[in-house]
Amino acid sequence: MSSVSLRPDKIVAEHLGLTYVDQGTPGQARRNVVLQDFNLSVREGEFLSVLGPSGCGKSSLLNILAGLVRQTQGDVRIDGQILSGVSRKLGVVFQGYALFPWRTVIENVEIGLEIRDVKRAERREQAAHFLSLVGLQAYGNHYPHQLSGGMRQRAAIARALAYGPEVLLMDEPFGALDAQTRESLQSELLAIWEKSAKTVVFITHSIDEAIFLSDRVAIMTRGPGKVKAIMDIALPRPRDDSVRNSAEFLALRQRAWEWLKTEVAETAQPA
Amino acid sequence: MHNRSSATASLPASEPFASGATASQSKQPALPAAPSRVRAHAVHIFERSIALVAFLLLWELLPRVGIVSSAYLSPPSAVVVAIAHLFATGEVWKHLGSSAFRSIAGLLLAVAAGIVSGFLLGWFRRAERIADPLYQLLRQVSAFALFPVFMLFLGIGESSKIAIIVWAAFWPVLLNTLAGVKQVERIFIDCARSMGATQKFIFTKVILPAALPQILTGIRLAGAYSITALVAAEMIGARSGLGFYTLNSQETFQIPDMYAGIVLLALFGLLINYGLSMLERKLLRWRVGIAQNG
Repeated sequence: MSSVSLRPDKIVAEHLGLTYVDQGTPGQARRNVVLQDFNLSVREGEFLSVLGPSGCGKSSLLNILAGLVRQTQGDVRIDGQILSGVSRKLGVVFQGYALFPWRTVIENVEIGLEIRDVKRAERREQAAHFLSLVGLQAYGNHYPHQLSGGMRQRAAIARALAYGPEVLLMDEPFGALDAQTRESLQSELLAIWEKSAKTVVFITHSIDEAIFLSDRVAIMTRGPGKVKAIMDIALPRPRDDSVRNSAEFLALRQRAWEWLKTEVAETAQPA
Repeated sequence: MHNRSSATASLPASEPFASGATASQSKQPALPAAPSRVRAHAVHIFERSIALVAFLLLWELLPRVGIVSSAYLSPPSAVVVAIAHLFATGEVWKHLGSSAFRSIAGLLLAVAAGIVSGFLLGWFRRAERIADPLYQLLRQVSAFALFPVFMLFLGIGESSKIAIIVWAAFWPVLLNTLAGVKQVERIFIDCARSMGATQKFIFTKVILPAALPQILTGIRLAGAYSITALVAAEMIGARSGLGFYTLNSQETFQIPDMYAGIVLLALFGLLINYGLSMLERKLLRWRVGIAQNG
């Protein structure tokens, strides 16, 4: 996708650092460096995955981008403007859905619009549109606990899309799903993304998922987290499941694995 | 109740029943042993009522056969007559009205104060750390012990009676709201924040509904406590109310009337509890079936 490389930067993280002071036992405060000198540019309209072993600070990165956690060093810029707190340009899909159990599916989807004081009838209509986009038009009046895991995740995606953010931040959204549901949701997500022209930052620990979905994959080192390498995924789009068996795909996966291998090996020991 | 009856239904059915009535019993898919469900239902009703019936019989008999003097214990038949008389003369409405006003006013004030302070303490962790020793101490102070203090400040009128009810009902609401607010999952709050929610939105549309099951548990407890406090308040310096009526009847040796007052108080308590559990059912309708599916 050479066209992507010409696009302007949407999100730029510069020298990002995050250090917690862990006060486990009194008097023995320990500094916990989660991110250090983390640099990354996400281009407008691209699908970028952040791939790394568990505990590398991926989720902390997402929380900083979402404006939920304040970094201790460095800056994040969105469209050139320094990010301070929550930005309305961003929508987040959380690990584990985070659907409100006391709201029906459609009420969940319209919550972002409710926060923006959109009138009831209008937000209903909007929410219904995004529900049908993810194929849940028949389940609007169900409660989240009445849906399967895959359907819940689709509802969560519809909720993040419904209020029209320019960037979608996704934190291992398919992590809790079985392999088959996971693959079909990946294809669905690509179809939605191709129609919507949004920038996506997708956090995952699955190599296959990252390669299948992305224009580029940023591979992270184990904590303190920083970007170790960025891979261009030049697989043609639109992609379908057959791409998973192509020689290019396997070669990319091999390369990603080479990068990641040392990190995983290091994580496996302490914990 | 459902678990119970289906457990009995799985017992081997000996004689087949006419199955006409089973359809109205339940919308669940029919079990192979459908006729035994009628029987299970009958068994269920029997089990649920036997202790009550035995109690009433014993109560009726003890004074009737002279084991206990009827000067101390009126049989339930006489109590029913006394209650009917109270309704016939309309006197009941004065007492019931006073009691209802006091307990409901006290309960409402306690619920409002308990939810607001529970929210504040649950949200501002520092405030909780500071206030915790104080409220742990205060909640041990019996509402009845404080009655003289309330009388001193508020006089002997309605306000001191309501104050004692508020004191008794406030603590369970506060403690349950506090626990409920503290247990709200971080991800719900983060999710709302990530969409740009204001603090007010997060309080009213995220924390309140998430903590509501626990808050309602607190309110139901408060309902029970408010009745206890009501009776005590009405037995000290009142001129109306079911508690006053009960004590006054004893003082004037109207023993059946005394028991009538006690029975009416119990029924009033049941009614409050029923009302609160209906409220709970209505507000927590979304939880139906949540236990099965996670």
